[in-house]
Amino acid sequence: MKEMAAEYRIAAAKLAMWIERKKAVDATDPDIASIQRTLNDIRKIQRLLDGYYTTPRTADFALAGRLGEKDNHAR
Amino acid sequence: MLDELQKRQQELQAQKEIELERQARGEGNDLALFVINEELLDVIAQIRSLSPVSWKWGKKRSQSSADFLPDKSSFIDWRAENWALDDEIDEERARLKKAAAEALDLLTPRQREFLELHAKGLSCNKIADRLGLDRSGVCRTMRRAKKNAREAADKLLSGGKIISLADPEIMEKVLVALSPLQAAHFYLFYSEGWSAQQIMDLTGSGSFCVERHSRLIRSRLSAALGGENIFLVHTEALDEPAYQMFCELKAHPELFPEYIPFPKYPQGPPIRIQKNQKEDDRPGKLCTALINRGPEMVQDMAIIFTAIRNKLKPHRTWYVPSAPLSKPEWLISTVEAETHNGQRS
Repeated sequence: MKEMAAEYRIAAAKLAMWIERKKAVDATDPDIASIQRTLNDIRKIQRLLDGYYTTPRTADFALAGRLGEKDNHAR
Repeated sequence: MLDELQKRQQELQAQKEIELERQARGEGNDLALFVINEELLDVIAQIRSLSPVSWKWGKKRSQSSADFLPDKSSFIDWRAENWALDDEIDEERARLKKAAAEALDLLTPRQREFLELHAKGLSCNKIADRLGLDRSGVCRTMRRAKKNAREAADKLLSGGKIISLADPEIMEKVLVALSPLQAAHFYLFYSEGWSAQQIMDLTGSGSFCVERHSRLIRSRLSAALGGENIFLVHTEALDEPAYQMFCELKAHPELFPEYIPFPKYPQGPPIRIQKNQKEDDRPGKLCTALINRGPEMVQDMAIIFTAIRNKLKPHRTWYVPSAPLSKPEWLISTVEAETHNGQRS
């Protein structure tokens, strides 16, 4: 799982790099948003594999059912 | 675990700086920087998830629901230990429900109808559309209904009582506390459900007079029934004894009082009296009998209530001398009819 997580991290890094370069050329490119969403999903999967979601939290957070991460795309 | 993560964060930040320096010199690997960045994001997220809410990057301390979570968890623990409180809570809930139901009964039928529609989820606009009314009127009635229900429930919860006029003891207290003229106004305004405007049109008196009567009635009944947190209901019950006395006066003209008294009575903070809740618009028996008397109806009623009062409290001598009363038509006509009959027989 940890190795898979590392692969996902590299994939996420590649996507982040791609987005960075696109933004440097044209910040209004419509592809950026969709890739950003994909990047977000990949980060989530990577965290899942990494055991991020199974990390024991303090009682306060466990009660709220809160995630540690900030999710900009949550609706 | 938090310490390890913080160490790792420092390491990654150091690596990132080194990588940035390399790139500035044109040597570094772009992908390596992004991988470091990704891991750094992870570590930060983990630290964030494990630390208290107040410790956040770039955020001012503000109140959030998480701040109350210790309270919530301690409440849940306390609640689990005190299951015995359930009965008390149920009782309290039943008490609140009862007060709310009674308070709703004290509203006018119209107010209750609006509140029921509102409870079904209709807005003011929709209620107005459905009933063909003006929106502002509906809103106003609704606001008043809510206010009245809330006040009534508060009063009932703080030891208020609902008293029915159908109870003979209460009826006696009310008839003794009110002056005959006030009783006549009570009959018209509360028992018959007339509006102030209708009474003004009948008697030709001003609105001030009607309002004053109404206020004095409520203040005197407060003193008579004991306390301001009282709701007087079933006011239509006054019709029956009044009509009985009307018939009695016809049968026994000697009961006709010489004066209409203006008795004094202590006053208290005004109570609330529920107007007649009859669904049909039929007037009461006494009202039907006296409706042809026009403006003199109020005085006739005062005579009837005086007679009732004399019957209840014959020993009281608080009469204020005024011009002696002339007998009303209905009494004269019956007396004459009786004498005619007597002559004939």
